[in-house]
Amino acid sequence: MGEPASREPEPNAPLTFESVYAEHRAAVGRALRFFGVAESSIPDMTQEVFLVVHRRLQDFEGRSSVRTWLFGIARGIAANHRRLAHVRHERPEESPAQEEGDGVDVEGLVERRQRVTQLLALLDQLPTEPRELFVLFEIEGLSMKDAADVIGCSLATAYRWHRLAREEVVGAYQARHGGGR
Amino acid sequence: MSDQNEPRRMIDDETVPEELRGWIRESARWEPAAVAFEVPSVTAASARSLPRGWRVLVGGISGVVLLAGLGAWLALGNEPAVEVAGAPRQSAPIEVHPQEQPVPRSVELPEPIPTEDPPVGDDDMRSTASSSPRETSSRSLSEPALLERARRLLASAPQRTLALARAHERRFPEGALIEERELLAIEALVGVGRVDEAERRARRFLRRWPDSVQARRVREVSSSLAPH
Repeated sequence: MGEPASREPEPNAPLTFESVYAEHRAAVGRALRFFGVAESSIPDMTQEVFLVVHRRLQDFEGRSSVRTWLFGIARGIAANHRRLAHVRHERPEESPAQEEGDGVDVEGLVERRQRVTQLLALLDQLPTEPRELFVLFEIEGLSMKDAADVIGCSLATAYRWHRLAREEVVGAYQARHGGGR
Repeated sequence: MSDQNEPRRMIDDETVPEELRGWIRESARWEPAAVAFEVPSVTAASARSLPRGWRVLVGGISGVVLLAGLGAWLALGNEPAVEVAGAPRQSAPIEVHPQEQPVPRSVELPEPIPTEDPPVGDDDMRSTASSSPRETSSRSLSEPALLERARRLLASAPQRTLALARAHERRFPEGALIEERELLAIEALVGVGRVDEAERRARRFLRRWPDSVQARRVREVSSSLAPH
């Protein structure tokens, strides 16, 4: 998984904005991306998340892990972003320019980006909550309970949404790619 | 972290196509581009006039992050305009001030409501009336895809969202996403100016699913419709 739990700060380590940012920036950006935020908006939306973190960190009591707290904030920011999409007249994003330069495996980067883009296309067919469940459980590696806590639903609902999302993703994949393994 | 009842993760499930598992693995490794924050030298007064977005330099920058500067900038009072909807609460609730269009109180229709769209009124909740020709293409959609299409049309064509919500109601009466559909229908009713119906439907929603994930949004819509 992209951000294993072992990267959580030590229990007694002081929780500072700098440490939270350093530990979790990538996971927050990734969650935003797979929650449906356009890649071009990730820096600004990440900013929004960490501005909230900055303001709320002193109130954080550790009843959830920092990760689940951050994912919950990211989820809210992504929701605001979606609601504003029509105001921004957002268009489907084009693939950003690939990084180029000496020693960069451009072909490999393109292939990796294509894999991510393919999954995003499948996720785009999902309603919000099942998509979020899928992202948190399948991509971020949260437990189902933690994922349910992030979304604020019951565990039973989380199971139901996950099953639905999984069936939809696999079904859409097979429809597009003719099934097979 | 996980219990024995949890479903098997797809990347560990050999019944899932290997290519698809590869996409998930790659996605789990995906990271946003390195970002550096260029914090201008500012006075407290000029900080207020800073653009809301960070000065972001993306690409080719190997992760130089000026956090100290960011902290100083934050300390100067650049609070975000956005509060977060749906964030888990710690000691204090996170207020909801969603950046969204205000829900119209009065009937202000940007365009005529096409008559071929089936109404989604209270009585329609139990209706089995035939679908419109426009819905035909939705018949092949799965439950999630049908509602996702409805959601995407909400801002630009709420009357179509209503039609798709009805299609969902007929095709998936015991579906897994009933609450999602009802929220969409409520928002769409507001969108086409049928505020009274939206209010009734919102009340019914909150009676039936007071603890639903969507209940918070329904309350937001409902309170926006209440007389001020």
